Amino acid sequence: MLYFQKLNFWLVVILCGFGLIISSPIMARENAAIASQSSQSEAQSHRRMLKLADGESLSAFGVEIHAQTPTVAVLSLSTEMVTIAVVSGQLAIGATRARAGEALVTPIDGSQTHLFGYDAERLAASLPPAWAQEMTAPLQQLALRQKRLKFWGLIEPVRINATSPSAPNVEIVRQSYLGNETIIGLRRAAHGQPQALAGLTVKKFAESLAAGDATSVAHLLDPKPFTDSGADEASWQAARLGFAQNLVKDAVLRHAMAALPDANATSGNSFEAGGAYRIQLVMRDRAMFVSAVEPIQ
Amino acid sequence: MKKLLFIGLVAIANPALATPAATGGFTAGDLAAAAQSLPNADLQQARILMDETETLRLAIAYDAAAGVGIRGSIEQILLSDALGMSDADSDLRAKWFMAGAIAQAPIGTNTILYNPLARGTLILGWSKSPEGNWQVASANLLSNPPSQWQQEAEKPYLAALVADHAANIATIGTQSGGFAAMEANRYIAGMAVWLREPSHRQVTTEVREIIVAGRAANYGANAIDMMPTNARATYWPIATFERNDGGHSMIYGSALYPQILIAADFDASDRPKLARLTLVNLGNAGAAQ
Repeated sequence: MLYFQKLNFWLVVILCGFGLIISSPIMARENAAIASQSSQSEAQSHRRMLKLADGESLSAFGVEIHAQTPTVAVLSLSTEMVTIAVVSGQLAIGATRARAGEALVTPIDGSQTHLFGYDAERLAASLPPAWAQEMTAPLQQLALRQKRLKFWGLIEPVRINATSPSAPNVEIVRQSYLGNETIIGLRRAAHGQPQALAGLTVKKFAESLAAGDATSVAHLLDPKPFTDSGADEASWQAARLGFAQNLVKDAVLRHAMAALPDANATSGNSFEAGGAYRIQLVMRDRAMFVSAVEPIQ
Repeated sequence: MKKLLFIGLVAIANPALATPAATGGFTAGDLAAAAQSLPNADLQQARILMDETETLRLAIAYDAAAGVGIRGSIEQILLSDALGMSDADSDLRAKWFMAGAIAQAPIGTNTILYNPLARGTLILGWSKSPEGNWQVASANLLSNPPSQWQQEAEKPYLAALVADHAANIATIGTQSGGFAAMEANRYIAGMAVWLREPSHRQVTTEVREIIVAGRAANYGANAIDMMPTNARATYWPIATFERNDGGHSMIYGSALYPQILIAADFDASDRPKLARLTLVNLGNAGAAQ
């Protein structure tokens, strides 16, 4: 069972507070190629069960969540959005509230959170066994209700798959370099502004390198040479981390990075750090990565 | 002298006063070399997959049924399904789509073809057969909702097309291929309707002759004449539409250079006259954004 691609929410758009529109989701094509690239544990790392007490708050992927009653929810992350599907209870992101059967969807490049419904039957079918005890019964109740609403034409599917915005096999590869806290944090902070994203990325890279944070440095290194290599994800991630660890060992480089780069000093995606190095950025899938750090001659 | 020596010794002893020379860092080549050291890494893989994709694209653009027919049986099903090929009409659509599709940077073992007029993205997932040949293991056509770049009021239609292309090449459509198929049908049908009129057919042929003969400079497009003659000969009409001012425009495209389009603007008279030719390089425009 591939949970990552099985979580095809039938998102239900609330229409004028009265009816609901549901449309058919993008159906994931399951094939051998996907099966060989995905795994249950990999998928699970992008989904989390939330159990929040009344009034409890939580920050995840740059989203502030506030429970308004005891709440059980599923938080899932795709390369384009953070989705919180409420199974029972009620929670809010900012002024947008969601009850059981509803999902709060926040685009990673955007600032606004949107309210949708989700397909409870599909979500129930995709749950890992460990979550079943707390989630199966409320989801079955929701599924029954949604069936009735669908029969009467009050809801119909929309074509949005919250966990796999593009083709599933592409999504698995994109998730490998876009689905980490460093990249998501920067995209959330930039609100979809490429210039802001470039400035934040170079600042984060310089700070991480100066602080000796090899993991964050690795997340910011251009993944393309590694993904193009054809090696499996674990191998290329390890190679990228190894490359970052070597960079972190360079005391001269770290010293130079401690002087924050002047984001306005150079053109395009080229930045100077400490007057000694030029940091070159490259855009991949709406995120920025560092493709070179070269001494200024 | 003693004073200078003292300052020098202090500078060496105290790293804060010394300015170390910039060393190290890395280049894009260093990253590629690190990736090359991976077990079973094949840095040529991306290039091989792009070549495979280009071969497939041109084969379908030349003859859709034959282009798909030469692939393996599972590949045929996947490609026919993704491109919606079931009869002669849908084969024509697949041919049109592939002729105008521009290859994008691959993602892992997935290659991507984007058609800027249909605004559709074909994503091909590749896997190696036991014999070591690359095969299509998945094919998905995704679309963006239709755009109105032809009728945009704020800027000329070509500027709107370039802006639309630049905005969409970096994204992969989030909806199934229905919109892209619909857009392709719209352009094909629109062109068929326009060409039904004999005078339209005649002017369309005349414009192609101007392009091929290298006389586009007379219509404001020196850049077209600078293209090699053989390249100019590969341009054929692919779409037509009515502009806001009532005149029609025709887009000429080439399966060999899908990122370079030629736009011919006709006046609004009953027997349309060619007013202007323009060369549009979508590839450069996208990179510049």
